[in-house]
Amino acid sequence: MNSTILVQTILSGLAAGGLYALVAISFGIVYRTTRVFNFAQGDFGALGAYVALSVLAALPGHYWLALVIGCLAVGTFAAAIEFVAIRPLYRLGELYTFITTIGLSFAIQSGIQQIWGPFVRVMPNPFGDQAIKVLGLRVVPDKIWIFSIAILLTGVLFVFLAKTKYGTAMRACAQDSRVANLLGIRVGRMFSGAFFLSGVVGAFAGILIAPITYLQPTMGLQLGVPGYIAALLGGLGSMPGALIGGFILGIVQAVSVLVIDPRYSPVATYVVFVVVLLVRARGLFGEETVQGRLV
Amino acid sequence: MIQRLYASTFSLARYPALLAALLLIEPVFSSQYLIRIVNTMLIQAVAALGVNVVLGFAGLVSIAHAALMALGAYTSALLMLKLGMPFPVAFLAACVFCGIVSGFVGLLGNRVETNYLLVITLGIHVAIFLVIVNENWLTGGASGLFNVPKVEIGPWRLANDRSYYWLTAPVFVAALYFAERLRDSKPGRAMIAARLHTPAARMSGINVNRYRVWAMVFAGVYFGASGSLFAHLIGFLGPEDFSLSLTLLLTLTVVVGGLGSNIAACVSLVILTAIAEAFQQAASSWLLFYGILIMVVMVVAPRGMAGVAESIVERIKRVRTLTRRPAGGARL
Repeated sequence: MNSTILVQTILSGLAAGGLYALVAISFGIVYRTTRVFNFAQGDFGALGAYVALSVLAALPGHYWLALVIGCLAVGTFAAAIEFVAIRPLYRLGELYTFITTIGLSFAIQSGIQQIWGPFVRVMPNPFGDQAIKVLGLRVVPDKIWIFSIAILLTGVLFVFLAKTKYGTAMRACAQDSRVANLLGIRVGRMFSGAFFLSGVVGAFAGILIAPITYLQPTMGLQLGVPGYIAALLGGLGSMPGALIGGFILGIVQAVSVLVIDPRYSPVATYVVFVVVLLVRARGLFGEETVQGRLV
Repeated sequence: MIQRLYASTFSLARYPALLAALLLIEPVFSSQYLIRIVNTMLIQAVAALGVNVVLGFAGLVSIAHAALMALGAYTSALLMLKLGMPFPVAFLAACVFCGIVSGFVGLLGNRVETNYLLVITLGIHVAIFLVIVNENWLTGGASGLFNVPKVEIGPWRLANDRSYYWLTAPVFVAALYFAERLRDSKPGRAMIAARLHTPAARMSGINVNRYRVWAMVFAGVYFGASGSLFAHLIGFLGPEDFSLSLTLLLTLTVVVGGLGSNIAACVSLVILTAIAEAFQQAASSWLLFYGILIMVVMVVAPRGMAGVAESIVERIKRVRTLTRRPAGGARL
């Protein structure tokens, strides 16, 4: 194995890892605000990618417009789902909302298959696929772009959730929604807002990863599962943790294709997960697991 | 409530009576098509009872149901095919093996918040399917395993669906019996307590983690039995027989029936099968239908059919007590 391939692989692992981190964070936003374990988080990404694909088909070349429309559409969809299907269930407890999101996940996956067909679709790459030379290594620019965008967006979200009034209010809902309500926070609006934000961020990750992995109805699981694992790996609720967890997972995934039998490489992700469970179940940065801080 | 109604109706020998009734109505399923559906339904009912133990009793959301059934099916089929074992041995081996694997998953799940069990079980699903699809020499790969041996128990050779019914019906009744016994026993109550309020269950001295593992083991045995029966019914095994949509169907069955009620799970399976058979041509959109139905049921009747039946009976009772004059003095 020569070093160029290894560096290439690690770089694409980092790019994918950045997107996993975004999924992990959007998952964390919902979980920390509403205590809903949203199994459909990855499918929000898939949905966003398909919406963007349709926008691109209608308006060729307007990639950034497609990105914005896809994100907003999925955000609205997520908020609507929260209002219709999840809000009546908060009082029943986590198990019920969880089962609902499993139904939602499969409904989205199958709905995509009904609307856009079961075949693999290709989205044009906005960053170009011409490799450039950096320090004597041939590197495809989209990897670097995605990596930087993911870190930038994580930073923006970090500031938003940690420093702004809105972010603090969301955290308050997670800790005690009744007291938050008494203090004048509109809890319902915060819950919808959390879902909206998670839909936007999830769709963003889905749209960015689409040119690399191609689009297929099951891409929600391929995006979501690493996202959940990254969230746990970094410690539920820790945003730097999610970022680092995402990177670790992305690199392990990318390298596993080189190291082990490629037919069995999908298992590598889960093996990492199980190892983390056995070694340090609360994750790398997880301190408080139940009613902890968001960031 | 359905439970109680059922208990009072067949209080004496309800399981032998149920079995006798099932065997007596066998001629009703006259066509080959119908008896195949009934057999499949009984086999799926065994798995649904397993899901009810995991999800309905213990409140653990797993997604490896179909994969564990596949494990049981391939174990049983391969033991008979490659090692020439008799069916009862292969069947029991499948049950035990699936129980162990499932229990192992439960042990891993105890390390994290219960929600993460879903990710672990998804990993088990992926791993089992990669082995099935890739190990051609053993499992026949993606094209499937042909010539799964027919069942022979002593002098009886269950070569067709009609005779196979005499195997599936008793196994189903036995599965129902054990699931009901579990429900009424200390471990079953402990599992349900752990689902309803985990901290309270812990405070009452229930070892929640231990009972979660036992729920997984119990369900694993059911999935093994169900998979084994399925393998020898069809005579052919392919990986797509045990897809995530089967898992979703089993989950939906328990959700529609109402978490924790064995009987309601069986009834809802009958209803869902009937719906599926009525709209067979729309097969490609099953997953969409199941997914949306889960959400609708959760919002409309989160406690399922059992919950709806119970609230109706409660309401009737309340009306009765309000209109009836209390006998023998005031009774509140």
